[in-house]
Amino acid sequence: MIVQFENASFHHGTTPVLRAVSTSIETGQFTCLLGPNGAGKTTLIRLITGEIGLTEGHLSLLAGTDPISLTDIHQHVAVVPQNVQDPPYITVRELIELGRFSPRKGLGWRLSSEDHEIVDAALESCDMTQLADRPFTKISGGQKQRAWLGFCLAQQKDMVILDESLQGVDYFSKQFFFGLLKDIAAQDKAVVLITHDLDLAARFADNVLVLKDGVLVYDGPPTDDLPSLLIGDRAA
Amino acid sequence: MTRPIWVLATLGVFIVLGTAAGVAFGPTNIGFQRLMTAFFSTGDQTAEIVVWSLRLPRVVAAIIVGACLGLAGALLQISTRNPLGDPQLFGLGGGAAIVQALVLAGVVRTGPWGLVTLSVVGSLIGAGIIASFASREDVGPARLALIGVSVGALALAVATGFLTYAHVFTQQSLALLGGSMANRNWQDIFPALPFLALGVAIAVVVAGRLNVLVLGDRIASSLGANPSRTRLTATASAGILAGTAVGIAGVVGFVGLLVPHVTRSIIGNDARALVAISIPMGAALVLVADQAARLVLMPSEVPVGLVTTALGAPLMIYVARRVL
Amino acid sequence: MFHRLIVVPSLLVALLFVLAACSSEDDEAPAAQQPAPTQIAPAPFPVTVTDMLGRQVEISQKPERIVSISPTATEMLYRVRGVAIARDSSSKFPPETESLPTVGGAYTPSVEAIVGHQPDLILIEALTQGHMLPMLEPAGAQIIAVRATSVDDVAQALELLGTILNQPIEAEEAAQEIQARVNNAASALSSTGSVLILISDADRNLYAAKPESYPGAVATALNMTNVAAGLADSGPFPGFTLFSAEQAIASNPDFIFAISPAPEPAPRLSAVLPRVPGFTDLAAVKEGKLKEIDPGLFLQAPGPRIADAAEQMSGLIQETQ
Repeated sequence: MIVQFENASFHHGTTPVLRAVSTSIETGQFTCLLGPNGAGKTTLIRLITGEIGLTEGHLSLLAGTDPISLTDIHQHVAVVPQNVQDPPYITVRELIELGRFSPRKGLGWRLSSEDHEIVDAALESCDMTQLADRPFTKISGGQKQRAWLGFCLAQQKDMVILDESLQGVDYFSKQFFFGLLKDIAAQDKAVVLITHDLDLAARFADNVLVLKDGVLVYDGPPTDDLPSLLIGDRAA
Repeated sequence: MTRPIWVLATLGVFIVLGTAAGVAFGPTNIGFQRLMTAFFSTGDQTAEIVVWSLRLPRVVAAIIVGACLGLAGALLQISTRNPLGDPQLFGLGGGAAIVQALVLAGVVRTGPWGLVTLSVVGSLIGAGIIASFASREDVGPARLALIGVSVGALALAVATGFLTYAHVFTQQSLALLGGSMANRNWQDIFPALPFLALGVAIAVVVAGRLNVLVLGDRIASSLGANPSRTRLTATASAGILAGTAVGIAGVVGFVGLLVPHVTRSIIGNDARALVAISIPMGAALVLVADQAARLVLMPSEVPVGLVTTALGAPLMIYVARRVL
Repeated sequence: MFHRLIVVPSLLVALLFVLAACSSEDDEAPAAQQPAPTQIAPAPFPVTVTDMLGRQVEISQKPERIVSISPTATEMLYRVRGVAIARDSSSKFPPETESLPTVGGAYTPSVEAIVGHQPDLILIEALTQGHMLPMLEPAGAQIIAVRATSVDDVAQALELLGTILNQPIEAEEAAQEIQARVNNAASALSSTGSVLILISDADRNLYAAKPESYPGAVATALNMTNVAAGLADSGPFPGFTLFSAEQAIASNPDFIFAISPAPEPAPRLSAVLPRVPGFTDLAAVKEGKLKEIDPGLFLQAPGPRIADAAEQMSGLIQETQ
């Protein structure tokens, strides 16, 4: 799958939020999206998921060579947005099982044996098999993060997007998580993570996008210049 | 988690026992033989009247009210992701209570069909208010509960105001505000049946889509669901059910709050099971509570809402500590 | 002298015997005249009456099993020499009703208990129990509503019951006696004046009885004017209105009657009122025209004892005249 932005701009009313962004995000790559608060990272993600539409420019999503229409985006993108609330009551396994949900199945929805296999595999991939039957609300921050990742994996979509979801997680868990994301991307998925962690991004990402004030100031493999890009003056 | 079939069987036993108590005991002492005669043949006119016209309608009313409230509570809690979801706490019952107060005060004159229909309309207004706030992202669970409680409190104040203004006698006011199923006839109950059926039908249709709401609207949408439409449908059904319950029995508190939590602790998290089991669970609870309400201080009556709160509050505390 | 002692009593005794003989002859006379050539009165049943809720009720035969669920109705029934087989728990007058089984309170009667007595007639009070009609239907009995908001109401109710029980003479006598006693009570007053009837609730609010209330009706029957006439109802008691000291001063009633429903040792309102600011200086208070009247007579059972109530109020007024 490929997501391609060409000169994409988004205005919130009269305020420009994204200015002429051109980039492409592909499967097989673990992309980290960096930038100060308010730079437009979340907006970029919302454009991909179809929650909002471009003001100017062009955005195309392709599955292989076939274009994906707006209404079908959700079949290809699994997203965990910013500040998501803990789902009450349910266990980790039940959360991941919900990744197998499809609106068409409705009232009689039951997990097939194939669904169960997918769920078990997702639990394995994010190392949550031990905690599968624990209520979601009773696990640590890092574990919750992995549970959400498992939820995305269970959906078996081409693209996984995680938005700034690592507040207050200890360094080792974060490191483990970044490693997971890289491995998953290598299994032919497009993984996008919005993060503030320069160090881990530099170590694990295949590709780094830096947004400042709506402008894409860097698009490429991790470099040592990342800190200066972020801390320096605001882009003109 | 217990299997649904065992839960249903246990609830069935409670309902049968409650019905037996409802029919066998009362201010008039009818022996077992006369009871059987009243059921299976004619001849003992007094026993027949007591059983068929006085006691049995009340049992059926309690079952209907309990089913409505239990299901409404489950729908509200699941669709608004709020553990405080309850038809009275969220202001649905309040709209219906205003209608009831107007009728009691003589401002609106109508028969049983009009009463239940208008109660449902009043309740749907309350449901609309809650639904409109529940879909907004900036309204978290606590704020939603606060809004609902405020709407409900305001509605009850208005209802009380009408009752006071019209000098409605204390006993009738108590029956409305504390809940009562005393002296319910078959004519009072018949109008409730189609609304109960409608509410249950809508709940069945929407139940399959309720599970994903627990993830929050944005993530649910990313799975292809339409959470705000599902929520609207579920809340509408809750409105119909709450209005029906208040139309028959006045404000019976706590049932809608308690039943889903107890059901969940027994049956697990699947919304479909919760919706299904909340119906007989609510029916059993209100039936048993109504027997207590009418038999404890016989021949005086305690408002059934008092009993459901007295039973429900400690149980709610226990469940909250263990589960939430 | 000795003759008179024997003769006079003997003559009197003889006179008595003659009178007795004559009257017994009168009794026997109609029997000798039978059969009567024409029927003077129509057959008493079935009869359709209009009760005091305006309902047409058909009584097909004389009711034998009457359940009364209001003190008003109970007193009316017994005043026309009817009897009940069960009563509400508040009905306590006349004394012979105390031994009757109860069927719940006047505000919360138990339909089941009523049905258990298999009544053919249920008596209710129109204003406070009118809404119970649908609830009482399963009992399968005729329901008659009575009311006692005025002397006329009492007379009408007694007549209604007299027709239903086919005891019109008893009803007529009762109505006439009550009317006569009320008239006497009214004419015993050398002058009329204005009246304020007060009652207080648990929160020390004062309510005045309007002419539409039962105590007000008693005052009206005595041709007294009521200073609370024309005011709107306020507060929880129908026919009563919240009344302030200012209103009392402005209306300056000639007499004030106080009702204290709470039993002893609760203080009597007539003892408390002179210490309430505003009431202290009222003419009626200063001239000793503030009197206590009995809540049992004036509040708890509107009905035939309106005559007693009128006499009590009249007596209290006469004391000061």
